[in-house]
Amino acid sequence: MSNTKDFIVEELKKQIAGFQSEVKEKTVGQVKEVGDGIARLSGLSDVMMSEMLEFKTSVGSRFGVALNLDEDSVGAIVLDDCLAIKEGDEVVATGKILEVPVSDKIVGRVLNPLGKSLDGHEEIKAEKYYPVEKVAPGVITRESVKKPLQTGIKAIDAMIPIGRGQRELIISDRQIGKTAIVIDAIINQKGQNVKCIYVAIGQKESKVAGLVAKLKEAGAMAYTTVVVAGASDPASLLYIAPYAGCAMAEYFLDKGEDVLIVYDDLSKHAAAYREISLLLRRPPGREAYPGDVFYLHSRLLERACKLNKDFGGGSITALPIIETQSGDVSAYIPTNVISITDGQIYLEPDLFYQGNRPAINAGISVSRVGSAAQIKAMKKVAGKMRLEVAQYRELAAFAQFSSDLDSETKTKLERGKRIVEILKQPQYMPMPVEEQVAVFFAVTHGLMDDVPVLNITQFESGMLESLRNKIADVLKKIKDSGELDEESQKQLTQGINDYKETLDYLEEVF
Amino acid sequence: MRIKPRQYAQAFFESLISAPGQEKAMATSFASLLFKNGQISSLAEILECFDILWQKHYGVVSAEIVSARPLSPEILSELKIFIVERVKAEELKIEEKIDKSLIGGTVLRYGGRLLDLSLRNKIDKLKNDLVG
Repeated sequence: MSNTKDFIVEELKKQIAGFQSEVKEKTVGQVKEVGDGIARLSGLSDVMMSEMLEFKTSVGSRFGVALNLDEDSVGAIVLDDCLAIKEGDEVVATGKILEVPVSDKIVGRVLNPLGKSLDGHEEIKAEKYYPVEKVAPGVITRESVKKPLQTGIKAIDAMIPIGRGQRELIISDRQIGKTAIVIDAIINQKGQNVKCIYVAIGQKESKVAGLVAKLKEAGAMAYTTVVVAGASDPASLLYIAPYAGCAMAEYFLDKGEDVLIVYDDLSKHAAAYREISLLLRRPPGREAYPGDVFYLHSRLLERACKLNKDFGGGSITALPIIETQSGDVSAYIPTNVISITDGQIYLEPDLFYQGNRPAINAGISVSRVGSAAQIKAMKKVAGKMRLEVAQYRELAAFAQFSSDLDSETKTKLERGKRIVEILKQPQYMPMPVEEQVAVFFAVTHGLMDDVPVLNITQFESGMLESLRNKIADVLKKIKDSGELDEESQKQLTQGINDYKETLDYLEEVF
Repeated sequence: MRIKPRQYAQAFFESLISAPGQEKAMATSFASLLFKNGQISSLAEILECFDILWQKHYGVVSAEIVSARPLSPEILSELKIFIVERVKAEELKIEEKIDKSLIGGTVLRYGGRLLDLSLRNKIDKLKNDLVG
């Protein structure tokens, strides 16, 4: 025992004797004024934009970032609480651009935007540091989006498909199910080789804790990192949170992996940036946002990409979320983000309260990548569904006034009712793509026309159960090949009809 | 547009340089200009800026040497030579300070720069290397 102790002491002595600390000349300045999370500094002649600054206070170091480089002063945001900083305190430029620690160990963790642990486990041992602000990959390194990212939500995968490397906005009022959609999408990435990063910006910590618990329960934390800048954190942390999350995503991207990143939500991010800008006395523009609020989001979302084989072939799929005020999509921030992204999913309060959940409005939701982000089998069965749903809503509104309709309209209405019913989906229950194909095959080929609308949900789960038991090989074939050939179609029809034999609630088709 | 103290100082300094030998007349007319513009209250700020301009032009650098114990004249003069070479100063204004918390070594501050050669800094670094 004493042997090992002596050994340790000797070793330590040797190490300390050989310890040579490197001495570097540093640029320094002084705090001129401080308050509201903002500090104005003098000196710091060679400081860089978004360089990390160390405030030497009487109770230890605090960190900040230089944001305004003026003629004779520097404006900086303070990343910790700024109460400890006093006028006249010394500020040292660290010579480093703001960066976050990254490693494979960040998976399954809850971190703050600076990479500090928030879940009570040990701190991240950085393998590398990634800069928080980075120029997006250029044209040469990219390729077009073509591989689907299965969200497991029937309405999205069928009508508004999302591809790996796409940026799809999710927009609606509060409490209509924006977060529910992205959480389901994250849960569905299990076994799909996709790393997920959920960035919570300005949300209640209790809500985030609930989400993390849900993700854990679903086993999704095995591939997910949660970055949290809560409602009580300073605006500076809210401002850097999405960039920090994106830097973590880029770590996996550089390893050639696919990443799904969710920014929940960018309206609060814009508000935090507005707060910082106004305190730094930048001139306000429309809705008091500063002039560069478009660039704020465009430079963030431009970092979502699909790289080609020569550059690793990885991708970052971004799902930004925007909260509107009483359905106003033409406000400043919503229009900005709509124009930046490759499409949007609009959730409608009316549909939500009618019980159509997820409340996706198929009419004005679009995906500019389109069917390139669907497997062939899905394209075949769901190709016309978006149009059919939109037509049904129009017809239904029209048909309310007339009692006798021609048979063609009636069939369309009945089919539409069943499609709408099929698209309903409970929360935390994403559906695998091959099962989605089977369900859509059944409804678009008229195999559900004799099922009463009220029994659709029951029929759907019963049918899938039976298909899983009886023709699992066909489902597997659809999943693996991504195609739906004649043979499989026949088997599917057979399987569904076999199941229908066992039912007693079917009705006559007129 | 309001003229800033820095601009006043700059103008005063430039006119002083361009007409050597007339410092007294210059100062009088500058003071009357400040009176006329109602800017006499910002004189302190103007003089501060003027000081910076003067020091910059004539290569005067103010420096601070902090040490744990009073330094011997030999070490002090060596440090001065080092700073003069480092910032290419013509003239050096030195301020000496004693700070026991440094434990040993010195901290040099000159021209907005900091060189921390103290024992405290080294111990902190060693601590970081061992723990972090």
